[in-house]
Amino acid sequence: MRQSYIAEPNKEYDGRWAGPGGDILVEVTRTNNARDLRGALLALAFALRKEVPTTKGLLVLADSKLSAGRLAGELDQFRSIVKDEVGNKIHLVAFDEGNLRMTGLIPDINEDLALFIHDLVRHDASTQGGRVSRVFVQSLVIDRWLQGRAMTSSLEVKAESGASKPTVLAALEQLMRLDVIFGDGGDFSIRPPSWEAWESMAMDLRSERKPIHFADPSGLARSPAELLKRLVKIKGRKKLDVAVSGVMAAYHFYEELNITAPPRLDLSVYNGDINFVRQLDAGLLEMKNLKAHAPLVLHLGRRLRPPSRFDSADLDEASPLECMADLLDLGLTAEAQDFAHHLNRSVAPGGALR
Amino acid sequence: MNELDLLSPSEVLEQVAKALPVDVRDNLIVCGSLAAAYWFFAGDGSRAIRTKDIDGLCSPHATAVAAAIEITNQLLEADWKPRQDSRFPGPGKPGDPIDGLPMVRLHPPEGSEWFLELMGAPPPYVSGSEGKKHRPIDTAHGTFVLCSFDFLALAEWGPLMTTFGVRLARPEMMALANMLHHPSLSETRIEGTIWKRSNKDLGRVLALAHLTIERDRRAETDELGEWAGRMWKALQEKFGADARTLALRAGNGIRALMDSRADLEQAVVIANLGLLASMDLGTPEISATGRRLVVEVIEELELLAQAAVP
Repeated sequence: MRQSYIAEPNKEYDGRWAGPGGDILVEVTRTNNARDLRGALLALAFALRKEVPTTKGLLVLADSKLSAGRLAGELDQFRSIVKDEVGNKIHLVAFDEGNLRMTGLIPDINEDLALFIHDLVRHDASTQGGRVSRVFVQSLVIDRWLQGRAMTSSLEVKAESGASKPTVLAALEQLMRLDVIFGDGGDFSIRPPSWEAWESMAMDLRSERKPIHFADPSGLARSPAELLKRLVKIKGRKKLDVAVSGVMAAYHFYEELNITAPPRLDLSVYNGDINFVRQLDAGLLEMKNLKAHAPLVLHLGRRLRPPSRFDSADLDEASPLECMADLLDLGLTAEAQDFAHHLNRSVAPGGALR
Repeated sequence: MNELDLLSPSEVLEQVAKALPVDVRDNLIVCGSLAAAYWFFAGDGSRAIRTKDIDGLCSPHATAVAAAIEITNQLLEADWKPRQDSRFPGPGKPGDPIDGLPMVRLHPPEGSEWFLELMGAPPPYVSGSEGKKHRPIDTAHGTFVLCSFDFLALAEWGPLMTTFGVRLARPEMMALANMLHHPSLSETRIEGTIWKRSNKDLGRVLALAHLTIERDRRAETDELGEWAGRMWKALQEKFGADARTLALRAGNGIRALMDSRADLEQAVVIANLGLLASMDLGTPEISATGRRLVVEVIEELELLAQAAVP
């Protein structure tokens, strides 16, 4: 039986929808640039050449500033320059993540396909579509230093992060501006960041991770510690790609962190799959009103540290920089600053976080 | 639905306990909203419930009739009053047709809206047989009928002893009995009202779960997390080979209720008039409880049943 799935990163498309009228290859892309859009439409056309004739293609443009009229015009132009049997099988929609709205025409659209597209867009947001960003690279450089495995050259950073050369250079330039690294000719050393540098790096990471807030309409929210206990239970049954972040994980790195009661549980989610929340606490509902109290916040993003074994009973902690980003998100600036000083104190020269 | 006075569960339970003959006190298990209210609210004077029927289960099945006779005789001799019912002007006599006999429903001597209603523990379960069974009981004051329902057997599993010496059915067992009694939403109304019986009984399940969760949060316990395991044990003990089938269908009614906005809203209204009186919860709160019940109890129970050899 054919099944819909999110594709592996090396595929020419992001997901395959197994519909009754044939499969649909779905590609998610994020751009405000018409040239990238044309490239993505062509790539989808190439992917369709390897498929049976009933397979269609759908390009989902996530959070783009290109107008609906511009998109319709681009699709018309694309169809006018390719053969009809290819052009008519390719469709284009815009997906607004903030309002969860989709605009554009899709054949055979139904609720299940719309949900599949939603999940794909979320997965893409979590993995940045396989792209490695400047913020990820600079965060990785700092995290390796915290672990006592500091990288010392741009070549090493490129190899370790998988980022493009321009992205690596942009990240290292930013770290140099923050006075975190120094050196020349591609080789560098790291010095303990100032509070301003920590804050800047944490805020960068905060902006890059996509937060999802959950509220408890029953007024009977579990405490973060109780949610954590349940997460351990779920981990024994289900493969999870999450790490504990925020205050709960910051305690792990710094026991004397001066926060008596964690206000919420922060979890970093690295594969975009948030279905485990139902098992964690089915009473919780995703919410858009960020002013309401959220006992649980998920942060979709890229993994900085390798996971422990999936069958391990323990939960992984996110990197200290992710924890710091969450402290700042909570408005716990003084505590974040104290945490940063602790990190600097704890990393012995040439060594790891003690 | 009649407007009823708010009752203190402890006061009512104490009154019932004191009136019972000492030698049959062990044979009565209080079920229903009074049992739940005592379990959750005892010691909290600000919490009260609205109810009129105090359900007493005469248990075990083998001695249920004898216990019901002794309790009825003693209460009537202590000036408890049979509830007026135009269909049954008074008790019958031995040999009368069963459907012409009243149930034992007795108001306390000083007069009150509430009354004690006696039921009997059911005989061993036979799948497919009529779920409601009747037995006549010949007392010194006439003949009554003792009703029993198959799933009331669950009330006999691990009842909780009170300081008054009367036992209470466990909340999760009452919840399971109601869930099994309503595998779907039915159009049957509560007599004389527009309210659906299944909405009332399944709403009670949600109310019991909500109160359990509320207490879990306050006491930092995970009582709700124990429900599925206890339910599975009770089903195995009480229903033997049928336990697996029953466990796998136990959640059907709750799922149907959660999927029907109108029925869920009606269930919330009824629960607010009864067990949740003085809490005044809305549908969003109860929906959250319903979702937790499905994931943390019903699905866990189904896993246990699926793991069992058919």
